[in-house]
Amino acid sequence: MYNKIEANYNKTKKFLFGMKNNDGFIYKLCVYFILIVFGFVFLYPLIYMLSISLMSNLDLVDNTVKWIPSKLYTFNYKMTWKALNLPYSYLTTTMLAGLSMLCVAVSSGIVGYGLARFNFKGKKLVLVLMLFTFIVPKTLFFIPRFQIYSALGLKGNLGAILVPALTGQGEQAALFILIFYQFFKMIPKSLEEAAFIDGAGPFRTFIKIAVPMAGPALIIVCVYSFSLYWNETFLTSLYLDGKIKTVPMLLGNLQNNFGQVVSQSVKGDFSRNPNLNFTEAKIFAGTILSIIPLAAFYLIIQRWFVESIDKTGITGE
Amino acid sequence: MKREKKIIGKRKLNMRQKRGLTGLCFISPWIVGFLAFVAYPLYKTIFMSFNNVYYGNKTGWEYEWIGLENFRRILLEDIDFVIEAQDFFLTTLLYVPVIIALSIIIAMLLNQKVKGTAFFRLLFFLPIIILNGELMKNMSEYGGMSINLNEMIVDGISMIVPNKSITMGIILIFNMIIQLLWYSAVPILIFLAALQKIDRSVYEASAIDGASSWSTFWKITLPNIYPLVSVVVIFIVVFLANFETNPINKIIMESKYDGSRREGYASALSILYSFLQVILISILYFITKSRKNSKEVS
Repeated sequence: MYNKIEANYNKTKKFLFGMKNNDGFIYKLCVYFILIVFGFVFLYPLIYMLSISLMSNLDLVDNTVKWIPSKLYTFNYKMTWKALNLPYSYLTTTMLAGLSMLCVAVSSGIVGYGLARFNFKGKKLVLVLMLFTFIVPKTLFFIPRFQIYSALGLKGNLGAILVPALTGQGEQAALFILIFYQFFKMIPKSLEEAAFIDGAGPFRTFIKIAVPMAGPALIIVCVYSFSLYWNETFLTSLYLDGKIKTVPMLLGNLQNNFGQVVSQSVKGDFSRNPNLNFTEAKIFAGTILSIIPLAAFYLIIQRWFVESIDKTGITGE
Repeated sequence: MKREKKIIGKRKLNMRQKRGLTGLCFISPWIVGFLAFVAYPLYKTIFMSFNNVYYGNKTGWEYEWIGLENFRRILLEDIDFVIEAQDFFLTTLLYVPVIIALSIIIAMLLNQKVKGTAFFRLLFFLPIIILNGELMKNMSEYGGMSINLNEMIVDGISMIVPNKSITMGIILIFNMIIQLLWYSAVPILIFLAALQKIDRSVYEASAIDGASSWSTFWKITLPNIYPLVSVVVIFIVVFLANFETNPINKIIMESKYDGSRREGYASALSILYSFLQVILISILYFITKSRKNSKEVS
């Protein structure tokens, strides 16, 4: 009798608190609880934005409407879609970010390989200077670069973004070079020697052996640099002279564009139809439209992305 | 025999030189880029900061040497930069430890072997992709960041804590935490990658020796990820300094077009800002570094 109780007690205890290496039920419950709390806090702004963006202006001022709009209201999305110049500006932003991504990946791959596999004088100096380029704020160079770009005729076109990216001076390029550097260091020397004995020169070795092995590093660099350039507004607005407008740039100017679009497309009196006024519902609709492509992109590539993080040793040692 | 050896030796030296040259070839794009887009601009920025800069359509760029006048104006006359710089300095000092603590906690939670962490990983890495200044600005300016609007939570807090100012303080921290959670995606990623590298058998061994999870954390987990804290510190400071919502960037941008300030003033601003950032990074870096050394000694 007593044994049975004790056995039961032990069983429950094992279930709740777990044995030495297995974690118990309570422990798992706690982990889930904290994760869900953090997850909610994290998602709160997004949920809030989504809910507000579907409200008409009447719902916004209505005290009885808190989270769920009285009816699904898509006018905000229709108008901000036009004000953001979609889908055309999705295309230009994708092009800008995609081309920059290619340049960044190529240049940082080459430079990272050179740093990881070869010894030469001044390598330490290069690494220190690279850290320097990472640390200093981008505002330090922006005026002289502005002059250089105008002198070289790069201002107002994609060259102002692509040329620095190609020479390894793009957005956070030092970080990408270091990721490749870490990754290429892990490739065994013997593999390279084998290629050399088979008669491959260093560039052939790089293209035929190092690059195919660098998949995970490549994925991280591509994904991260793509989103960096997509989200960049400081440099793009400065160097492109407003000739190429990305989605985040248009989002920053949403209020003006919205007014224009509304006055063009809806023959309504602003004082009669309160829904034509620019409110946070419109801002949030625009914001959501601006993040949707990136979020979808992320959902598609996330599996490879997370796997790559495990493999690259992004952390360094 | 002797001659043969000499030849081999000579060839080896050549080999090494050749390897070195190929290496230089590989990094030559970076060197060109560095000279053109970093070294020369740096010289130019320093030069301009001592000048009044004008631009005329016919005359082009004109420089008038005025010495330290720009710096004097920034530090002693105009107040906008000094105030924002102090603000940036203090908030960064406050943000960095909170971001590091939050990201270590979340990284450890995500490293658990429970179902569903894949989903939460997906969630917490989201800002790596979608975070930008406009998004952050819109979310915080129009109430998306503040839980204030949700009266239930406010009421709940004020029921437990009667003092109104304390309630407001808690709400403030809460608001900040949403923002900081959004900022900590990359640090989470870095810590998570480090945690996954720790051999699980180490934990098993310590569990067999009877170590509690508390002491396991301090004796195994933390020392393993500690070297990365300084990496994260550098990353966060650089990230916060360059983030688009940072008002200092806006001041510098606008000074360029401001008639009474122009490029020289803006250059001086950006030099001071760089100094501020380097000081911040060194302070935080040495705080995190020295603790590691003292641990090694003990």
